[in-house]
Amino acid sequence: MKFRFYLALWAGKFIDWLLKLKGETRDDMPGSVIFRICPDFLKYVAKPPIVAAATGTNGKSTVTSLIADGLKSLGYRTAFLDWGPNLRSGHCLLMARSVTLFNHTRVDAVVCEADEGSSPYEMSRLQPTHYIVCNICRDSLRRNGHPLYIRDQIQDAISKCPNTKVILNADDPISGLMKVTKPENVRYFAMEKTTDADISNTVLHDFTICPNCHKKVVYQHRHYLQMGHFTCPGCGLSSPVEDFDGTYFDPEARRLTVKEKDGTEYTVSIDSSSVFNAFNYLSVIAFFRWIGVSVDRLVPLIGSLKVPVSREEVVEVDGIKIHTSMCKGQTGSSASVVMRHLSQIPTRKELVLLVNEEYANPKAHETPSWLWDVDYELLANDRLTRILVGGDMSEDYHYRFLMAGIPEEKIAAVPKDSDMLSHLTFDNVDEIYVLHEVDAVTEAKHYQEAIVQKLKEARHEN
Amino acid sequence: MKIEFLYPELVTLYGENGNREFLQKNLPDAEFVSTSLDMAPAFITGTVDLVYIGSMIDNYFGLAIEALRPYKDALKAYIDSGKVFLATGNAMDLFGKYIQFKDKRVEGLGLFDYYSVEDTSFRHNSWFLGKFEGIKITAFRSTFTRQFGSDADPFIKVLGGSGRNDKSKVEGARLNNFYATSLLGPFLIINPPFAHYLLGLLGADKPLCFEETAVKAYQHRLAWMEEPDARFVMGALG
Repeated sequence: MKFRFYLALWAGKFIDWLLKLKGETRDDMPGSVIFRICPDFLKYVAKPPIVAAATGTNGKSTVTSLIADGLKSLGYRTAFLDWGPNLRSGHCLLMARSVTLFNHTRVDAVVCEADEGSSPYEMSRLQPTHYIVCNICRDSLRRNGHPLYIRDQIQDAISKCPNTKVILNADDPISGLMKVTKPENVRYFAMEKTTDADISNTVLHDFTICPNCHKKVVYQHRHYLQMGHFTCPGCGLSSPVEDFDGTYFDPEARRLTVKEKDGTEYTVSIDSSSVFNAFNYLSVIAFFRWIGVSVDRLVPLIGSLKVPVSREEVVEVDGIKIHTSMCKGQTGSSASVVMRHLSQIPTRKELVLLVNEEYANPKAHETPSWLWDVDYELLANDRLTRILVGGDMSEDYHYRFLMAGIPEEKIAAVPKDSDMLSHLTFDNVDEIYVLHEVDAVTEAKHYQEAIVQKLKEARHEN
Repeated sequence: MKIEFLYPELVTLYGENGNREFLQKNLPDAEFVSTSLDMAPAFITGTVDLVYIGSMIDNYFGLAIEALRPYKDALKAYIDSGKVFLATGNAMDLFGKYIQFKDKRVEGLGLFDYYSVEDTSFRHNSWFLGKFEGIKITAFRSTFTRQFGSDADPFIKVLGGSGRNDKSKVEGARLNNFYATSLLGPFLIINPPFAHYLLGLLGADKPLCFEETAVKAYQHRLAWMEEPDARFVMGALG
């Protein structure tokens, strides 16, 4: 095994070096080679004192990015791949980069994003010191099936890492109820009620019955999707008690007040106005507190962290804000969170959707069922001035929007994405959102630039 | 007219609420009732015209089967009377002989001779083209379960893609006006011609809501599926 391990390490490092010479630092091919030579590479590679992994359906990229930036700010030499590879090849590359040729760690911390489905194999070998589960929601039906299948995968990973410190979302009944072998190895985070809005007006219902007695559960409050505090009237099962409680979130001021189990209370500034990201920050706070960061150091640290720019970017032209914002396709949960967030912003908007599967696989014909798991109904109001979509499935989108109550005259569904922009009106609009798929960051940026140009031309003509 | 939705607390997956939405929009004068696990189904009273059940988390198959089992005779009587029943997605598995999981077997309702096998190590994803009474059916399948053992009582003839299993040339199951299909879509939404057929059985066939757009989407799908080199197998990502 030793021979295979070193052969894998050296081969991987050599290929990585060659790729770096070519300027290609964002290619996990060396990790793929490492895995092929030594499938147990992650087991034998030297680990630094902190190995933090984050998994879950939504938020893991943001959480790992915030943790890596925070560790660096605190002076930890930190290995992290900021381009999001979350499968075994990415993990092998990350770990290979974190050690010397003779397998001595040369960093203080490693931070990695972990795909839910492959977690049992990889986490059992990596044995992270800290494992954060952001949430479990429905994801791509073709890749992930249903939420309990994913829960079982992550539960399996946790069971195989008995000494790992696990950070769970107490407000997510699916992941929050997972079992951790040693009670001292789990911390929970949660938020107090964040909205008076009726969250039950969603087409997504992923936690409806008690896992013990199968009675219908009752929510005391819900933030979004199934995130909230529940009890079961049948057997009394309820959400776990949180160790880190977000007692007050002010989205406009972007400030989050946190109360810990021992009564310690503090307020931090966060780089987002969304409840979804407030949860991400809470998990990050739980991590930093667990590695021993004092409140005095934590508050300025959290205030300095930025949500990765690829997720949310905005430019302003003549009073109109043009956003790019990630909105995962193929899954109703992520897109529904975005739709709810948009519906709560009291501005008039035009939406440009770049959420087709063709950005990941140009030859694919996309399956339309997930459109019926998205709360497009929340957009059917006067604040939506126009919604634009293109691509192979444009008529499926068109039909879905109509059924959601969006009037025909507000919809532009065209066969080619590139034809969408000619349907932008800029009339009675405060903001334009380019909502893009994970694989369409660059395209979204191009669209944003094209919209800026078009807007400037329109204003110049007037 | 009375439409019954079975077990909405379980039937939450794969956009299947779209089928319910479709029925509600296209049958505005109908009465809709939702039956929970702890309630007796409305169809036992004989006043229901259509029962719908869709996909659920595989772990819950046993709950749905046990909720229906006490009413199995009433269900047979309902089907024998020619009333309409539609089961989509993995709800089809409830009505076979049994469902074989990795570590256990759950007895089905036994309306049909097929049995289902769940394999969580492999998620089957594929497009589907078929024919039912002259109607072209377009849909897709994404599932951990497949059906084996018997191809009796088929619903749809396979033209492209696979049927109950990779070797089967038939998809779904039919008995009088009981239609079960493991296909997703949502099935009624992406198949306007079959939706017309089903509404016709209820005596309520008329132009569908936003029919022009629905038909455009259907025809676009049908066009690429009928190309000679159409690719029906899908991976997890494409």
